Amino acid sequence: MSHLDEGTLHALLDGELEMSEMAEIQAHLGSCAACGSRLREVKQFLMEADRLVAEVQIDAHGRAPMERSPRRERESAEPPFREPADPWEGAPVLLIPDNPDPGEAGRRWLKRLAWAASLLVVVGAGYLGVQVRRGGSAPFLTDARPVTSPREETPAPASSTAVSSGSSGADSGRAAAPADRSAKPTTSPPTRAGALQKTATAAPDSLARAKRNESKGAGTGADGGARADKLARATPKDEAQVAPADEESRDNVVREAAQAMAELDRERVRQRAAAATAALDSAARRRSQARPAAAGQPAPTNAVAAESTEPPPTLIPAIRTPEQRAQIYLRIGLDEASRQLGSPVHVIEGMSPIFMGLTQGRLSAGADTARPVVRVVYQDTQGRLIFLDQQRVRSGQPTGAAPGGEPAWVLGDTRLYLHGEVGPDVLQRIRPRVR
Amino acid sequence: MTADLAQLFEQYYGSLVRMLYRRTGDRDRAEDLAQETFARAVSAPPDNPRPWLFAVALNLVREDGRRAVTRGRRLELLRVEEDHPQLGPDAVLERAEEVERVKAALATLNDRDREALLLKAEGFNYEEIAATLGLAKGAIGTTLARARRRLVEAYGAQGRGEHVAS
Repeated sequence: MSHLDEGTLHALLDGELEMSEMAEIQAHLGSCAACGSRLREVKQFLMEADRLVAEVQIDAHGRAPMERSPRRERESAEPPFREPADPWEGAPVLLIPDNPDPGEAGRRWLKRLAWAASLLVVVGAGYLGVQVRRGGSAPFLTDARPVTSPREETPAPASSTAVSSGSSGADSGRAAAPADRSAKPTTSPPTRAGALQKTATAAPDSLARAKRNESKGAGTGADGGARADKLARATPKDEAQVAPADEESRDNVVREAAQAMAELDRERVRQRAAAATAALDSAARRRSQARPAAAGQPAPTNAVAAESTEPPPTLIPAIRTPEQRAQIYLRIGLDEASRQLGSPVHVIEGMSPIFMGLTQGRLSAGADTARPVVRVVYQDTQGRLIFLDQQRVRSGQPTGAAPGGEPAWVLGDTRLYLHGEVGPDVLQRIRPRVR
Repeated sequence: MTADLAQLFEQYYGSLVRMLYRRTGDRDRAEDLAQETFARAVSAPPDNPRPWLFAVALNLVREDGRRAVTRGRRLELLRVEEDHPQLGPDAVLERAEEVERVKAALATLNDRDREALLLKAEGFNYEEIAATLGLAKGAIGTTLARARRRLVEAYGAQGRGEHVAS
């Protein structure tokens, strides 16, 4: 795909692209730094131009009198939107795909682990390259040993190292430092769930091995010193063997990296399966507890006993964030929501929204599926979420009621749809308070 | 006026006056033009009212735009002083100068770019802007891109002292 033109970037920021186009552009922006940079520039122009146009108001005081209603003033005074000072600044430019997987934190941690593994591989390859350029081959190459087993070498005393050993040791230390920093989350998450700690201890063997090797090199420098010593004694005859040996070592590095990544993938799959199993188990338990309670009888004692003897779950609980529950793919502020709708955002009087964002049209009954829907999210006293979906009505768009008896209606140019995790009676009570 | 037109008036009058004011710089003129637009809607009720109303209003502006803008600048300064006596004279003047700078920057745009920008500010989507201005929908993104860039650059140029007080 060629670079995105400025008009397309403005259309993207104005929310005027179809979902299919957006997916393609999102993919391009993810891989093209130039277009990402231009998008940020375009965003600045767009915001500044909007600000300038808004300066010219009828009463010359920044407000149009015809829009200054008590409701609008209340909205602007309400703090719970948690909108950043600049809703676009720092926010992901790309649309975030809907992510129903509950193990978000675990995956983030695994991603860091993958980065640490990649860094280790890069550092190892760099170390090899440096050694080969200095006119010798790595000791494990001359010894025809695999690249991953230098720990088996006998550490040489520091006093016996050649002049170059200092720099070599320093190289090892430098190389180990970023790797250790990157790998920090794998070993120091005291605040994370026990399940994550368990996963951390079950990290792939090859990664642990590689890390031990790195820390050994960083800790003493003796291993690196021994290698440098051997390098200093390398003969020109060894140099002739550098090219094939280098090839072999590169193959080893690549193979090792592939193994590490495969193990990471397997670990990821295991973790997802464990999370899904835990979710199923807890749901089944809740159902079994709810059944006798619904019948107005106490739960059978043997069931209670079985419950109490059951070991506490050690797997990741299926916790979903409010954004995931609300199926919001991009959080937006009040201004952006108004811009999307072309009119002020409708709210429920007497309730404070916890946030608002964009959701896909197909997730809001009766909405135009080709365009995003602005979803204002509320929470009742029992923690259940209530959604007030809003989408600008276009000509020819059906505006009938949503299926399931949930309230849907049109106000001005906006189609409203009230639904959520509460019952229809609650929704019916809330509807007259929508302004 | 029929009930439908009364509803249209209630729904779009404010937005129309605001757009016309930004376009002409003269509130009286904006209100006159808005009323004239609705008078035409009475004689020929439109099918798709919003684009129709704004297109008619912009056509009326083009008929006598330049003279209205010139008159509006002078009148607006007086009006600001009259309407907001609670502000100090310095604040009123500063505010008026800022608005004048934006208006001058808007005046550097060509008609099509400026009108697309003002319609977008009134919440029009690309389809509606295209229908109002008689452009292809695919061209609106590029038009707005150019308009926004030129507006910001013209405003910035004035801030660097390249403008002359009118």
